[in-house]
Amino acid sequence: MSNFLFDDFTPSSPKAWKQKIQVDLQGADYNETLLWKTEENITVKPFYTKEDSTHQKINLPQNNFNICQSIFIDDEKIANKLAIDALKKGATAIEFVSEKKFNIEEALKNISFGNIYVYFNFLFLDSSFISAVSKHTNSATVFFNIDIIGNLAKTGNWFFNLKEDHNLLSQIVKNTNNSICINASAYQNAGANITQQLAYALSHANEYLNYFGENAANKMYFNFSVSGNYFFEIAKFRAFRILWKSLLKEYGVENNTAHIFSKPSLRNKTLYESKTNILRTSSECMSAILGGSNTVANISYDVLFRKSNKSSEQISLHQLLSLKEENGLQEAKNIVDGTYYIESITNQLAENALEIFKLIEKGGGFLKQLKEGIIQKKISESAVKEQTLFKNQELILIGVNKIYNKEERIKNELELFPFVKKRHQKTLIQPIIQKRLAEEVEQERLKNE
Amino acid sequence: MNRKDVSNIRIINNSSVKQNKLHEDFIAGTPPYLRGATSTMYLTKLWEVNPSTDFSEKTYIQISNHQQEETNTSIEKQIAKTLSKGLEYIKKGIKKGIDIDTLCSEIVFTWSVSNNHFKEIAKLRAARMLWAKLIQEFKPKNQNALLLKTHCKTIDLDLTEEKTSNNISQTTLKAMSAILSGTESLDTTLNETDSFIKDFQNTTQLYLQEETQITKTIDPWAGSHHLEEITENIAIKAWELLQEIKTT
Repeated sequence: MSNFLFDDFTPSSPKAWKQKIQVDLQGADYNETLLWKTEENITVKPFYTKEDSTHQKINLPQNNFNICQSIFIDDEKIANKLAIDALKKGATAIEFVSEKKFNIEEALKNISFGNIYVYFNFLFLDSSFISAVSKHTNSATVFFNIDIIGNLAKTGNWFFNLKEDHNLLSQIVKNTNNSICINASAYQNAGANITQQLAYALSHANEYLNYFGENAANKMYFNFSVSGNYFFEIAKFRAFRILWKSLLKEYGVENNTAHIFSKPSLRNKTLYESKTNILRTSSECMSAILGGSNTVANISYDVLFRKSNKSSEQISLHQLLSLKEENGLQEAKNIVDGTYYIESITNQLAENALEIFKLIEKGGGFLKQLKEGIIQKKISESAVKEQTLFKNQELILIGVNKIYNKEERIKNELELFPFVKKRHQKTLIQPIIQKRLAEEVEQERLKNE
Repeated sequence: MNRKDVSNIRIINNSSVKQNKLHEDFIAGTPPYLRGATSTMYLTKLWEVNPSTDFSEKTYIQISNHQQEETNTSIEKQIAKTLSKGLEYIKKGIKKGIDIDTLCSEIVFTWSVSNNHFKEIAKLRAARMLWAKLIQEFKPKNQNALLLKTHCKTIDLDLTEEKTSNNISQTTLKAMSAILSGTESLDTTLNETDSFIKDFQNTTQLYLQEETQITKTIDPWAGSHHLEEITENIAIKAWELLQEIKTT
């Protein structure tokens, strides 16, 4: 019936397209002008066609994405009010972050845990406290960001020691659902490329699978950060789902769809021209949503230097709400299906990440390679590569190494220390340091203000 | 403890059913220009950022859908009305004895971009295809005449104060859809005196050019079942409406 629309024109082909390009280039080099080799060693072609389709069917979450408001619990009453406000405004998930135990009743008053998703992110490990929170909330939609390996990777130390950490985690896992989190965000924020993020997330998870057995798979969830390479980041989420499914098949687990929590990266965010961070988070949240994240949380444009404040939080929450309500993204997760470019990238990312994963496993596994400093070294290599690209202006951050306002002064606005803090603590292993690309440039500029 | 041997893992390939789309064999730079105006698009030439829209250097006639956008007309109607205005201009010129190639080189279509991200991407793809189909009937000498020259403008219909900072995000997303649909120039200037967002006049488009890598391949959303379906539906419906307008 709809054939008539296209009758007037002769269908073409990828070959014809390439020929036309050669003609239009008028002598310019095809490879130099039109191919893009990414940090993941993937070459992006100028065009993709149905021949690039992989027809890969990916198991996506059943529900539409959750909009998450992140809240730091300092004063329980204030945190509670912020949570209820956010939920009123349309958030469907809350992330509670805390450095210490808090009054559970006060902090969680009047929150209906069965209807929303809650993520507890404790920067300490206390099994009985976690059990208490779990009992209080009593819901399948409550998640605990407990990651003893991630903590080791980030800080260089166990919470207590290897044995104690594992024992505590075992206790927690026995009594609580959704109590193991694989924080892949740390690797991205430290400069790992996408293939590495995928491989490390997978092998990190595999450590827990090896320790607890395949039944632990249903207690695990993942925390990814999203960065600026729009289509690659969408592909990243999908590649991970493919990898997770492929790994679980080896363990005989069939019906598990990874639960993914995502948040924009800090690595590409800037101190100067901080408002550009609003642009960054807008496309990053979109990547997270289109990639099929279960839950997306946002970060404020001034998170680097200002304490959490109402107006900035409003902007970031509103960004997510708009994406859901105004931009036609309610049913976002299936939009990507069939896209030639994304399918091709997804497949390449998955295949490459699997290779790295196998190497890690061959070398004794993620924990062993962390202890030997190999993971840290690989991430550092990527970070250095990226930093060099940034220095050479091949990697651009608007407001920092391109189009920057020399007159901008920000010293007096700093409420927080925006750079990596030097820690003089003895560590068991070399920690993976999350550092932003712009830090050195910014430190220079601040000095000269 | 023995680690599980994972050396034989393979990527599971859960093949979904192959869906053939009717227009999947069309390429950019060749009529009907569904996938883009040129064969290399932004890889060799980026879109123009915030150009002066009087296009005063040339005698471009702007045919725009701004009015329809403001009255909340459906995308199909927008395309039909806008293209038929263009068609009117062509027919008048033909009557005066001007050749079709010249006439086509004088028209630029300006489109305002709404919030519905994927419908907007579909809109331009469908519009280019339908315009080529319309002009084909006049048998131009050069196939370039079949190309719908486009300029997009992210109009802000909601300028309430509390939404000011949200305008930045929304403008970014609208700009993105215009770019992903292959516009040749884009205007994202906001009529804002608010200093907070005045800085964004050019930054938005620069950000999209430099930090998102969305220009690295042509028509990147091609193949998406969702996008191709709505492109096709919009094209069919708009064509029907065009025929209706023609006969009235």
